[in-house]
Amino acid sequence: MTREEVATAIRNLIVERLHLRISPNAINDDQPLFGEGLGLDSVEALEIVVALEERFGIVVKDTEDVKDFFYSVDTLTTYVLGAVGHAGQRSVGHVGN
Amino acid sequence: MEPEPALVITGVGVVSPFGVGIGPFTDGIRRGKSAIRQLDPAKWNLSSSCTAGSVPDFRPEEFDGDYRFLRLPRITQFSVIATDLALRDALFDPQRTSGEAVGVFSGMMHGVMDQTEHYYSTIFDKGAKFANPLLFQSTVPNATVSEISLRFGFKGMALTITSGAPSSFLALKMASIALRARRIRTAVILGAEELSSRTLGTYRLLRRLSPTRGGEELSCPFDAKRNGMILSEGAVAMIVEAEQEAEARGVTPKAAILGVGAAHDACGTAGRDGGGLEGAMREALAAAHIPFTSVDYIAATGNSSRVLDEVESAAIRRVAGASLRPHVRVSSIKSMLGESFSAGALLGVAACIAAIRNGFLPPTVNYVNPDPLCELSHVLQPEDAAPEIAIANSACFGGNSAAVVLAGTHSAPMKGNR
Repeated sequence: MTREEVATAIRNLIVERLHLRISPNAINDDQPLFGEGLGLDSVEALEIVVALEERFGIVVKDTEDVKDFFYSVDTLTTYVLGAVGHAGQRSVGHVGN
Repeated sequence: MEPEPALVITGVGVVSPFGVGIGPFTDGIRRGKSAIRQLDPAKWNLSSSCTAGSVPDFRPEEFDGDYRFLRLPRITQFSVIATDLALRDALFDPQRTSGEAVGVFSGMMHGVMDQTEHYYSTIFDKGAKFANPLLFQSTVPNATVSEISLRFGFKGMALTITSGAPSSFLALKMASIALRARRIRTAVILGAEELSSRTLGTYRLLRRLSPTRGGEELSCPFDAKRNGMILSEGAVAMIVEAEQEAEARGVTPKAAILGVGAAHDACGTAGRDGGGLEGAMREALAAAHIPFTSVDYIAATGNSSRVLDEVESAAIRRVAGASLRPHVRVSSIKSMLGESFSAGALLGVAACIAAIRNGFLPPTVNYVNPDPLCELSHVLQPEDAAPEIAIANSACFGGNSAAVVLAGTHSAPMKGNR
């Protein structure tokens, strides 16, 4: 999966899982997900965590630096690519539904 | 010691199979219309077609287009909209009132069905680590009262009672205690249920749905050919406060709550005699300090089931004793709306208020064949009348029962109430 493919998947899963009424393409890669950006809340962040784990077959660890990766689609993409590489998976497939 | 305050209902909000608002509801029961319709099996995820009292053309986006509202369970959307309507009806502006003095008291029998099924299906199918955090927070039993407290800024207390069909009456009883103790000044009372393929399937399996014993699929309470209930959904919210509080706000109450009673049959279906409903009616009348002879109308809990309609009839006859007069009229609006449990209980209260304020009695439609076991003075056609005191009953198969005695406040017909 290329970086753009991962970013596209993340945009899609944010819109689908949170039932946002916007097009995935309306989320800019560097747009903040919380606060003044999309305005997501803490439970929605957890929903994204579960969705990322299911979609990419990774484990999002509950560490302090993880919060920084939840800043935007771009930083999340970096995190996912790193986590996938760390997990040593040969390919990132669609896990579950 | 200061006397306990008299309690009044100052606002009513209804989301029912007749539509959104008290207007379509009052018009429907006044005309004796049926709100029961054929469900689309594809839309409702049903294996076969059936009829039910679904809320028609429900478009939550017309109320609030935000994605956080639109992803809420249907029952929570019903509840928020009913609460908003009730607050407007009561001329109660949450933004101009101290939230600490307002409590939310909800009664739900089944609560959130569709999203709860989805939540647990994910856990069972994929494992607990894939449980949806969003679904968790919207499917816990207190999700609805929390949503209402958050949205309107109510900080007094938020209580959810799940104790069968009379849950909303029990919520009213708890709210009455809190109001009389002056722990809060205003209470939002809520009863809500949502239709789902799960409840429809379960009640069919339990042989509770019409046509349980063959015959026509029909809600016909107290009729000899009744063969089970038709399920339904909706939400009713009521604003309850002390009479002085309403007076101080310059608001004309819709009705006075004279008494609330609650009891249990404490026996199985086979030996059931309606002792719970009898006890509930007696307690409510005693709290109201009025004899049964003062009652003009009873909004029955009769839901077209063989047992419940029979035991309610027996309970009413026992409470009436020798005093059962022709003008103590009885009807069940579930003949038009179906059974929506805790929502249905408060719909009965809304029917009493509409009857008292607008001068009519709603009928039990579909009643054709008298059943000697259900002998009462049934209202079979819409009637012009002037009921002043009414009882709303609620009971369910498990034996839990409650009753509310209501009276008019000799005020103008509902104005500004949707």
